[in-house]
This record gives sequence, structure tokens and C-alpha cells, in this order.
Amino acid sequence: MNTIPAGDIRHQIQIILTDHFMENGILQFEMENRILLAPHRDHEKVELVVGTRIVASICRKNQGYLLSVELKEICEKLRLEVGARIKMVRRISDPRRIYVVLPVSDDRLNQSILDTDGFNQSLKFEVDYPKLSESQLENEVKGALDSLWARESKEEQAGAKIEVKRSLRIEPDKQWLDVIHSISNTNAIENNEISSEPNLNSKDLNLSEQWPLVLAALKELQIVNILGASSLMGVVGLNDVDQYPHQLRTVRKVLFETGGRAILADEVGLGKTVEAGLILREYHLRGQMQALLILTPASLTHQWQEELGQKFELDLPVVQTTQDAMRFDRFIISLDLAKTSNFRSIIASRNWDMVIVDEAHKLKNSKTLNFQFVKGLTSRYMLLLTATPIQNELLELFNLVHLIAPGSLGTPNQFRKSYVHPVNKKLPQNERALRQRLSRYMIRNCRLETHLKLPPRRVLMRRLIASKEEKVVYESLTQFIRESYYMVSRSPKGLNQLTLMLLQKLATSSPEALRLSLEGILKKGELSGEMEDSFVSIKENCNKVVQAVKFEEVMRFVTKEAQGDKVIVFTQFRATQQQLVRLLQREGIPTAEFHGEMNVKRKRKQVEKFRNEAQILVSTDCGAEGWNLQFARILINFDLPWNPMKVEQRIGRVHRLGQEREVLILNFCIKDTIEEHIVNLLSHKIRLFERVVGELEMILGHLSGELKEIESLDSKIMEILVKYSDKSDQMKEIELLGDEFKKAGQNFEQVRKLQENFLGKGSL
Amino acid sequence: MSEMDTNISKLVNGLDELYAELKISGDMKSDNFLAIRKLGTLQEYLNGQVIHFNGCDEVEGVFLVVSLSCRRPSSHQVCRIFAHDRAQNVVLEKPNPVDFMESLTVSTVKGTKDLSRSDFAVFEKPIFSWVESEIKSIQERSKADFMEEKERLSIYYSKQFEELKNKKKSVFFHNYFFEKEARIKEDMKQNHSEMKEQESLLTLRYQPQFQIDVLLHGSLSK
Repeated sequence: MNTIPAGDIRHQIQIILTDHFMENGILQFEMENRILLAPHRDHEKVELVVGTRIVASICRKNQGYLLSVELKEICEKLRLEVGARIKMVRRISDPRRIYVVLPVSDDRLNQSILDTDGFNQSLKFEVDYPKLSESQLENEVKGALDSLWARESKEEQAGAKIEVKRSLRIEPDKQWLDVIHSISNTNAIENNEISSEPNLNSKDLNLSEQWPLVLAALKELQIVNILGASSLMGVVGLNDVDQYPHQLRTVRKVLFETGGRAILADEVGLGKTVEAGLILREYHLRGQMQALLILTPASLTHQWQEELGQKFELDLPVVQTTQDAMRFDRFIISLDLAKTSNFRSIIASRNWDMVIVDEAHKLKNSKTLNFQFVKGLTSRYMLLLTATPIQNELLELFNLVHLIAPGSLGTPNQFRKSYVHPVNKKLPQNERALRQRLSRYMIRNCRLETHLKLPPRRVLMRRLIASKEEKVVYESLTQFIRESYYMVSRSPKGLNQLTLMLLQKLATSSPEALRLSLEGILKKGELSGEMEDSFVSIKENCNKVVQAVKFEEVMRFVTKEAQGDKVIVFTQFRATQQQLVRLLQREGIPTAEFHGEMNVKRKRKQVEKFRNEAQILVSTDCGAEGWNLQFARILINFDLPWNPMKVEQRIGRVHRLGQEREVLILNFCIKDTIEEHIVNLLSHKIRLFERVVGELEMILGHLSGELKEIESLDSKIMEILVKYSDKSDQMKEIELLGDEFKKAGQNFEQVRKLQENFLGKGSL
Repeated sequence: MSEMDTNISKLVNGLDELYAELKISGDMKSDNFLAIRKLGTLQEYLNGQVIHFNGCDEVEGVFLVVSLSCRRPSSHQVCRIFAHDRAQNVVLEKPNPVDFMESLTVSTVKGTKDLSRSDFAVFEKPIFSWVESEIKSIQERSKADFMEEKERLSIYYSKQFEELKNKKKSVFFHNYFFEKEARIKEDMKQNHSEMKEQESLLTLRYQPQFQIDVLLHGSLSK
């Protein structure tokens, strides 16, 4: 109501709107007008009645003003300007409130109030069940028939005939048949590019030959239609995928109970990625997955790509550019990249069939960009993968469930009241009820209940004593690097710090491989005279090494200790690998090899060779990512990557579900070299060799400072090596680095405990 | 016989056997089917082929095999054969094209000149009715889920709104209420826009989305 009956007015004043009010909501009263504030105390709340709305204000009686941000907003909405006059009235019938009369009509005022804060009055979730549009249906039916005809007339015009193109892909372990039928190539017709030459890869069949195939195809379709509704279609016929009951249970639950939206929270090492892959394959086979987005940490994008391609025949690109994000319907991208403004708008504007977020605990905080970004995605299905859905407090779990099924755990307040201990927020209450509600959206398999025990892992350190010649190589190279590390550029061209780091690592891997690298650099002719002399001298030192101690040890182990067991030897370097393979083959030991330049087919062949005939597989790190080699049980780390993730990936090839025998890991390190420190760091501080595969990633997530980017560990170690020539100083510094890992490990243990506290020890 | 032909015939025989088993028992093990499917799939053969049959006792006219793939609100795929009997001028429908087509004899490959789009206009209404009833029955089955979700979201947002409103009231007496109030109002706005998003998302998830494909078509003669 914007007008007051005259008989009901006790006091009435007029106020002119000032800049001050329009900026801060402060209505300053002239002395004679302060009578209006008389009934109130200083700092007291006063209700202002504006039309149909009651807005809040604070009375600053002593200073003679009223403060109301809401009134200011209403005035702004009504486009009242500085200088406009408003009336303020105290009514006889309602003395505790102040009525504000604005110089606008009642209708405009009420409309404006609704616009300003319409949802303030009522909030209703209003949506009707979508109806099938008859016109859409009619268009679809006509379109299906029309498109058929449009295609046929083109074929007729081009004189095309029915043609069956067939191709065969033969894999070493099985035969795959691709039958590709095309009536003709429509694009070619459009471009008048039909060749009269017969296609060697195709074979023309007449219809009577085709008919049994068409009929069989119809039968296949009928079977798919019947089975598709209730059975898993994608779990058979997969390469290198061992499926476990808990994984199949998970797939069934996601497909048939959760409606494709769930948190997969298995304990580390139980195969969440495999579960996600199986679910993807199921939806893919059902034609339900045209648009797919996989968000992972940057370090895992390629691992996902490799694993989905190799195990599930889902070839997805890893997207790095906005053009690719627009071009591809299904892709993998790092969460950090996806949430940047350029990508965010592209990704959020699409309707996804499935969104998968790996390491989903990064969405724990609802205020973060990570959370807001994922919340803004429109997706029919969504999988959140994390072994630790709770990092600090139970509300994080609420946030994850909110992404999957908003409202299913009530509001945050209701959730807190119901499930969080009122005093100790780290403890739950009503665990049983919580678990029951969670079990609808969350699937958590625990190792204890899956009865999947990994066999023990035995780790042996072989501290080898280098020959005199090798020592000279190592010392001379390290000395050279120490002197020149900060003199060379950081840029990728020419001799740079990265190259020096690689040389340093090579020095403990293979003097021969080092020699080859030095030769390569010398050939480029980019070195200064002094540097060139040093390189030549180090190269000559390499020449003096007859047989490096590590190679001798491999030979000794394989021939004397391995007792015919299969052995995987990992090295970081292709040159070392080649040298090792040559050596083993020269000794008549059947050897397979694996490296990053091989395609999937060649790798598969090598795996088969290793499985069936070879005793040794020599692999580089990037060669073996994602492959299951658990039929072997001995792993030799010929040289040790400084990045612990890489070492864990090596171990993961053999010490994983499906391994039935004790796993033996041999770490080679040369005494009195940086390798000795690396071994200490990995085994004592990070305790890498004791941990279940998968845990390290979680621990690294607890690192802070520069080490947050684990890649920076390499340069940290390098800096220590360059800065300190004394071995004990080096050790001290690396110990300090190690303490950071130790702390991160302790934090992880706490987080793991939290999961048990909140979610219990059993499966969900 | 090449390796490829061997695989094709294995695939065809396997599908024949499984289909027969399915017809007799009304059930089959999905693993058996998937083992056969490991050899490949023949689905690409069902790609709008034109086929002419003779020896059809029932009908003389034209036919269509149509597939309906529904992606939303739930996954569902069915196919159906429609045949137009020219003599009687009626459209016949069968839910399983295999049984009908197994008894037919393939004639020769002809051009498409004998058939025109208008021959098939007669199928528009029957296909429309069939698709409509299929989708409506899918929608009927999904409605309970929709209502449950709607209820859940409705309760959530109104409760959330209530909480924010109470929170807003409770800060009125605070000196710095306007800062807090602004924050709460921001939360209210966010709650409102989130609710709107959820409304459209829910609609989108239950909006029927389907695809109609003509797998085979052609003529039938006695």
C-alpha cells in the first residue's frame, strides 16, 4: 500500500533521497524529522513497510539516520533518482513500524518489489512431466521416410549399386571381424568422385547372397532388444580386463538402480577405472552415449586414454585446445584445463550423456570453481570416482551427493543436524541411517569384503659397487653438470637444464647410453669450445667402461636367481633398453621388448611373446602404461625414475588384482650416487614399496608448496645435486624433501581413517 | 573359404541358434550372445536396404522394417514390420519382423524405379501410432521416477529457502546485518537459479528423445 488514510497518521515527514542513500542505504534525518525515530532505541531493528513488503532497517537514533540496503535496492529498481522525495509515516494503528510512501503507483511498486526479490515471497519447484509433441513425432516419422528417399534418389542418379565392403582385422589372440556395409559413399556421389575401378577391399554381393546376413542381422537386433533391458552386454569379449564380482555388481547397480548417476568410492586398488570403463561400454553398446566428457587430473589424462582404448575399445582423444573441445563429442580433458574460462563456456553449453570425474574429492568444497564448474554441467549420467570422498568433514560427502542427486540428503543444515556429531564434527551420528541413504547413490567396495587379497610384495635393494671406470664417468659428468647447470639456458633449444638432467640420470642407467647421447649432442655442434672438450672427455671415459655393473647384475640374476621365472626389467631410457635387449639375446635368453613408439598391435604381440616364449620383457616407462602383466612376478627397476608416480606405475603392472604369487621387486642402485638417495626417499620417506598401487596419487594430493606439482621433484633433486657436492649434505637435503612426503603420507592416513569413521569398514 | 567368410558363417550360425533358443525357451544367456558377438556385428547390414520378395502368401504390396530407439526418458529399442496389402488396401503390422521375413523368398536386385516415396506414405499414420504408443508406455513407466525426483527437489529447494529466510531474519539485529544480509540474498538468488537449472535439467532428462530408422524396405509379391 503506497497511500495511508489521513486519520491513521501520527507523524509524517518528507525526505529527499541523497547520493549517500543511493550508495549506502543511509537515510539521514533533519533534526526536526528525528521525531519519527523517537519510539526506537539506538541500534534497534525497525521494520519499514514498503507497499506489500516489510523490509529491514537499523535505527541509528543517536546519529539521526536509518540504514536499509533493501529500501535502497527498491528505490534503484524503481529508478528513483537523487532528489526524489519520499514520505515516511508513523501510523496510529501500527506505531512500531515506519510506512514508506514512494512517488510511484501501487502497481509499479508491487511489480518492482516482485522483480527485485520475487523468490523472497515463495519458492516453488514447478515442472510438469514432459509430453511427447505430436508435431515432433510427425516430423520424425516423415523425416525417416524422406531421408531414405533422398538417399536413394542420389544413388540412382549416380548409378550406384548395392555393395558390401568387408574388412578383417586379425589380432594375435583372437579374430575380430568388422563388417562394414555401405550402399555407396554419399559424399563421393555428391562430389561426382565415383571411381569405375573396382575396389580391392570390397566385394560385390548380390542380394540372395546377402539375404541370410540381413536376416541374421535382424535376429541379432531382436536379441539385443530383449537382452538390453536387463543384462550386461559389454562385459564379455574385452581384452585384458579381469572382471571381479564386486565390479560387475557395481556396473549392475549403476545401470539398473542408480539411473547412471553414482559415486564410485571403492578403496584404492579395487579397480574404479575398470568399473567406469565397463559402465561406459554398456551405455555405448546401448547407443546411450553420444556425448561423453571425462575430467581427470592432468597427470592421468593419458592413462585414461590408454586404458579405455586398450581395454574397452573406446578411443577417446585427450583435448588440449578449444577447437578440439568443440569438435569432439567424446573426449578426456584435465579438470584444471576444463574449468578455465575458454573451455568452461564451451563445455558447459553442451548437453552431455555422461560426465565422469576422476579424483572427485577435488569437488569437495561447494564454494570452489571445481565444484561450481561440475555443478553447471548438464548431463544425464554422472560418475564421480574417488577412494576418499571425505577429506576433512562429512559435509564434503554431502556436496558430492548433491552433484549426483541434489536434495537427496536434505539441505546442508538438515544433513549436519542428522548426521554430524554436534560436538566433534569429525565424527558421524546415525551412521546406519546415513549409510542407508548413501547406498542409493554411492558404491563403495572394501578390500576386506571383496576377499581380494593381493599377494605379499618383497622388495630387495641391490646396492651395486660401480667399477673404477664407471665411477670416473659418473664423477666427471656430475662435476661438469655442477659447473654448468646454472650457465645453460632453461629454454628448450640447445643445451639446457633438462638435457643435463637427462644426462645425469643416464649416468646411473648406462654409460653406453650416455655415450650415445653425448655423441648426439656433439654432432649438433652447438656447444662452446670448453663444453665440447668436457663432453669429449666424458665420452672417452664412457668408452673405457667394458661392462657396466648393472648389466652384469641383470645377467647374473636372470641366469642364477630367477630360476626360469618371468622377469620384467624397467628402464627409463630407450638406449639402455636396446643395449639390454641386445645383451640378453646375445646370451640366448628369449626377450620381448616394449616401448612408447610401438602401437597397440605391436605391444600386444610383444605381450604374447612374453607370455608364451620370452623369459624377459625389457620395457621403458611409457611403453607399459596401462598394460596388465601380472603373469610375471619379478620386476627389476634397472634405473629409478625420480618421480615416484612412475615407479608406482611400474609396480602396478605386476602387483595388481589377478596376481597370485609373491611379487619380487629388485631395485638396482649404484652406491655413492644420487640413486642411493632416491632409493631412500622412495622406500623410507614415501614408503612407496609398501603401499597399495593407487595410494601414491592420493598422498601426492596432500603435498603442499612447489611439490604440489610432482614434476617439480626432478628439478628439486637436481638442484640439490648441483648445490651440494658433499654426499651427507645431499642426503640431508633429500631427507628434508622426504619429510614433506612423510607429512603428506600421514595426512593421507588420517583421511583414510575418516572414511572408516564415516562410512564404516564394510562395503556400501 | 577365407577366414573372414568362416567368421561370418560362424556369426550367422551362432545367431540362428541363439534366436531359435530364444524362441523356444523365451530366454537365453546373455553370455552366449556376447560370445557370438565377439566375432563382430551384422547391424550395418540393416541400413535402409531395398529388397524385393516373391513367394509371399499373405500380401502383395510394399513393406518397411522400422526400428525405434528411445534414449530418453529410458533406454528402449524395438523394431516392427509394416506391410501394405495393395489388394485389400490395409496396413499389416507385426512386432517381430524375423518370423514374417523368414518365410519369404528373395527375388532379384532391382533398381528403385518401381517404388516411390508415395507408395510408403500409407505407413505414416501406422508408424506414428506405433511410436506414439511405445513412447507413451515408456513415459508411463518413467513417470514415478520423475515424480520422485520432483518431490525430492521440491522439498530440497523450499526447505533451503526456508532456512535462508530464517537466517536472514536472525541477522536483523546485528550491526553489520547489511553485509550478511547481502550474502544471504546472494545465496537465495543462487538457490533460486539453481532450482531453475534443476527444473530444466529434470525436464531435459525426461523429455522423450528417440530415433526412427527404416532398416529395410521393398516390395512383396505372391
